[in-house]
Amino acid sequence: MTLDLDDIIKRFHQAGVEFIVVGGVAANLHGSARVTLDLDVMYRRSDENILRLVRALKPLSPYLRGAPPGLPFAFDARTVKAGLNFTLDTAAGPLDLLGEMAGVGRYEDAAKHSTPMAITNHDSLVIDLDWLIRAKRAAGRPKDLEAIAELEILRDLQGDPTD
Amino acid sequence: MLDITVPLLLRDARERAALSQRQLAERANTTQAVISRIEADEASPSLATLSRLIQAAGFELRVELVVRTPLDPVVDAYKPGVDRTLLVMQLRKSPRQRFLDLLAARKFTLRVREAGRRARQAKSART
Repeated sequence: MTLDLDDIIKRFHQAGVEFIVVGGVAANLHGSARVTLDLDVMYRRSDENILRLVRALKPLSPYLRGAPPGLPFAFDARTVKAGLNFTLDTAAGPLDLLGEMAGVGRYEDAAKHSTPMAITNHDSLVIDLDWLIRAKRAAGRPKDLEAIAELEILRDLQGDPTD
Repeated sequence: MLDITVPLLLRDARERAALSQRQLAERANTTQAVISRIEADEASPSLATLSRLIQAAGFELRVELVVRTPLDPVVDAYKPGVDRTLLVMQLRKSPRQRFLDLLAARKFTLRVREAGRRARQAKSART
C-alpha cells in the first residue's frame, strides 16, 4: 500500500501530537487550486509533544530531505529538541516540521489563529487564511507572490463563492 | 488610513436615529455640549464613552482587530492571471474533499514527473 500525506496526519492524531497544518496544504484547505507536494506543520515544542511527534514519525523513516544517503541523522527527541525547523522526506511524502514560522511565531501563537477542519477522520487545526497570507508575506520568497495573490482573492471570495 | 472619524460616526448614528443632540444627550445621561464638542471634533471620547453614546442612539459599536494587509503592487500584478473559476469550484467543496482532491492531484503530478524522468533517461540511452 502506498502511503501519502494523510497517513502522516493520521499518525499524528493516533499519537496525540499537537500540530497545526500550514503552508500549501493549508492553502488548499482554504480553497487554493494549486498543487503542493509536501506537508508543512507547526508543532508544539513541549517535551511531551516532541516525544509524541518522534513516536508518530519514526515508522515513516524520516530523513533530511536532499541530504546524501548515509549521513548520520537520528530522528529522535534529542535531535528535535536541538533543532527547530526540519525539512524531511518520509515514507509518506515530504514533511516540513516547523517549530517557528516567520510572521506567525510558535505553535502557541499560531493556535490562536487556527480553526479545526475535518481533513481525515479527526479534526486538525489549520492556520487561518489571514495568518497564512501573513506567513507567506513574511517568508518573502518570490515563488510565494503568485500564491499570495490567489489567497487574497480567496479571502475576497470567501462567504460568496458564487461570485 | 481610517475612512471614518469619531465625529462622523457619532453624527451618523444620531441622524440615523433621528435624534437631536439634546435628545441623544438625555438618552445617554450627558449634556448637549458634550455631544456637540465630539461632533465638532473638539473632544476625543474614550472608546467606552463613544460606545455608550452609540448605544444610546440604538446602535452597537463593534471594534475588532484584523490583520493588516499591506498594498503590494507585485502581488496585485499577479491577480488578473489567477483563474477565479477554479477557486469558485474549490470553495464549493468541503475542506476534506479539497484535501482528497489534492492528494489525487499530487499523485498524478508525481506520476507525470516520473514518466518524464524515464522518457529523458530512455532518450539519453538511445543517443
